[in-house]
Amino acid sequence: MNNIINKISFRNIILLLLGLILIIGCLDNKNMPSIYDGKMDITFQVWYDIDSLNDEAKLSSIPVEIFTYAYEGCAYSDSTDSNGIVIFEDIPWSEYNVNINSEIFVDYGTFIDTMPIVAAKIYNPDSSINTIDTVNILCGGSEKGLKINEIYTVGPPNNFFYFYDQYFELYNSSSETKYLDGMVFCRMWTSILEVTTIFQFPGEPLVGTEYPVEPGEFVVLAQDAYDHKDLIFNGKVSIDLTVADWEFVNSADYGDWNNPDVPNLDNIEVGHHLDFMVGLSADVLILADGSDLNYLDGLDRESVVDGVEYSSYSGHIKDIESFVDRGFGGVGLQKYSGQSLERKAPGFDTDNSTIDFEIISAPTVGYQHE
Amino acid sequence: MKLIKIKNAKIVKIFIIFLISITGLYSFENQLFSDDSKYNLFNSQISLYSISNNPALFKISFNENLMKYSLTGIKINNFFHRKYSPEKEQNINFEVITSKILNNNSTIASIIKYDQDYKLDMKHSLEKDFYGHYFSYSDTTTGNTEYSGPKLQFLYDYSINDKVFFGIKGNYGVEQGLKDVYTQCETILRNLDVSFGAGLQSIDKSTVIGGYIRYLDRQAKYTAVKEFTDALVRTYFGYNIFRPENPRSSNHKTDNQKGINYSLQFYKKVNNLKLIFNGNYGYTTNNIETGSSSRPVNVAYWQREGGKYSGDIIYNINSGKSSFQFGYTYKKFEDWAENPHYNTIVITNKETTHKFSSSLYLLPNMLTKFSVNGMIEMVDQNYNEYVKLFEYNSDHTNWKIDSRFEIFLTESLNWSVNGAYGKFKPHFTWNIDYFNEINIGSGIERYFRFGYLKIDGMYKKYTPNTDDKEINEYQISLSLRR
Repeated sequence: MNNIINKISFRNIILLLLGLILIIGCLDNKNMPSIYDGKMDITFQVWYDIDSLNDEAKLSSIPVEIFTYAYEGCAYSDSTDSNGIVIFEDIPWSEYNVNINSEIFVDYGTFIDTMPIVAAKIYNPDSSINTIDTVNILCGGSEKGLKINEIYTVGPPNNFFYFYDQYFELYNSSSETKYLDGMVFCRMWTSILEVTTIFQFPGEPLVGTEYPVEPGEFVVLAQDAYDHKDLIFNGKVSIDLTVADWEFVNSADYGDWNNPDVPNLDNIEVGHHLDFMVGLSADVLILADGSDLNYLDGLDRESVVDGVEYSSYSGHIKDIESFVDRGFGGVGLQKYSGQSLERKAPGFDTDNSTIDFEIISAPTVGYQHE
Repeated sequence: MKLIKIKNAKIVKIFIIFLISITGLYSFENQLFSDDSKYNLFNSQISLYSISNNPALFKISFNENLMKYSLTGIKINNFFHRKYSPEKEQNINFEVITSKILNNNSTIASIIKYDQDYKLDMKHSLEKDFYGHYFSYSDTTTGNTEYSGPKLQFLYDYSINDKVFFGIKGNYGVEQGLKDVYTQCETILRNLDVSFGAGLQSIDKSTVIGGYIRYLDRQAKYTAVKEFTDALVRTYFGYNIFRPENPRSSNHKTDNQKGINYSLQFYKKVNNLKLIFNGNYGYTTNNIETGSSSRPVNVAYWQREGGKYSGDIIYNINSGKSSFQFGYTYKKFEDWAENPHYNTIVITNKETTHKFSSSLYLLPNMLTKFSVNGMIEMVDQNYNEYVKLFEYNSDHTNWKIDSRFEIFLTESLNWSVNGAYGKFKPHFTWNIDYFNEINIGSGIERYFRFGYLKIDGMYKKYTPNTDDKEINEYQISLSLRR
């Protein structure tokens, strides 16, 4: 030991010192920023393009709500002034979800009527303290048709990993009757070219008229159409899915529950022996018209009726192509919480689930939340 | 004559233990500036090494071989506690201290310590010390967390001659923690702390100047496995606002700290008077990331910068066996933390401390030893959170008096007793004006052929001014030194 220590010469010590100085030289401290948080002002100008009047109108007294996922309890609301402007002052620096869900009075000359209005957008601040942005209002969503309106995937509050009360709700937001005949409901991988699970409604695609959906009608597709509330949870949590309109039943799975009173969507994927189960907190769902049943090469773009991507993680990297869904909903969804994901208004669809959907505390089977 | 020789050796060894102990391991938290231990322990005189931590001055400060083993048990009942603190704490640690003079030029010293820490009924916190950081991790469950791990210190001091000294000191610690309920958060802390110092001593040994550079590196990793909805993981930004972490099967947090510390010392002895000046300047930076391990998000950057400067006067009486000491310490540091995504300041904190202390250390005869100390400090703090505006300002005074008495009951049996009383304002998160602190302790040491065997006991009590509940701490220690 002594010999080893004695070999540590003065020169070695100097070398050690130089080495340490090199390490220290790698350190870098920052300069203090000049902007303080909690001091951001945002001004929103609310616009509405009223086609029937062929004019742009500014909106007054419209409640505007903003909230952020970045901090708990940071939600703010205010109403627009006579110029359609609303200002949020001294708020934390963060990305905000902007929401409008209200109604306006429209003067048609001979009479005045109320019109529901909806708007949503993501506001991402830049480096300036005061910014102005616009919010364009839509009337009931821009696109009409058959929509995936609600996705309940996370399961009820429980500690034995029960999530078999999953269901999906469709809504016809158009003014004409739609038909489910031969349509397919799919769980996708990361692209429209990769189908994970595919179940089909009975009937002939495109031309069948046996299974109509009237305008404004909700259709509930249950993973298993039984009363999960009573059967599993002794009446405490979960939901009764005996009221479902359709049930996913895999005829290749002899153990799959089949409620004889509820019509079935059946699996058409060869070799698939499971029920229609989706990710609790992240997945992609597509409703397609059934014109393309060759699932091995994915789905034809033209056959897609509606698609929704969801993920509980705000930093999620988008999977599905943007023509199906430009965003993803469900940020903040908690597994086994009983939460559900529903469009902000029935059928409200801007092709961006980030702003179309919101998390609700409990599922609403066959109706829209307040 | 034999008795005097034994007692002189004993004094030197106690001194060595004291020196190594107070400047020893930096625990698992690399503090920018070490605690002012010199004002709390009065069984010895302060020295250059004890004040400065400069490894090059270790050999100057003492020159004796030593080996000590100790086993300590601590139990703390936090009948009064903060929201995210444990209700009970238990600690068992085993420590081996060695110091050996290898030859005229080289001295080595080492400490090996193993800690077993229990934080019981810990409410919501996933951190060992929730309030010690601005960006702490929590969940919504209450559980017990066990922390364990070794800490190592190695010091090597080399003198070219009696004038030029070099020293290197390294601390390394690893600690693992596991919470016993979901989220069953697993914590791994690792720290590294390296100091490299140099010193110059005059021929007559009356003047010493020294300096060192210290590099700090600490990594903390947390993995919280979420199973059910009642175990929500949160990241706090300060103490008043939090971010709910995205629900996923497991949440990860890393807190990487790096820092640097520069220090200079000056020592002058004039007859019976000693003057010691010490200055430290440094900073630490913390980068905090949360999220999944594959996609971490940089949620905060935190920087602390400051200095600590002290001057001590020691007047020796009776050939240095008794002394009067007076000291002044000025400490100032500033913190700021930013949201790195938007480059905005989320927290600032400024703290300034002026501390005055004086000690009287007496050795009336070779059988007894007595010391008494007083300390008063003025603290000024300004803390701000900006995400959700919160401001705290405080200008307060803390004080403490302490005394210790030792006596040889027989030639080989030594008994000591000590006590302290003080009043201090704790961190504002306690939400009280002040704590009264009382502590009493006693120890007995006997010389055997195999070494000195000692049993120590201590009781501490902290009573808040607003509550009947209090904090009790019991400590018992068994040690053997040779």
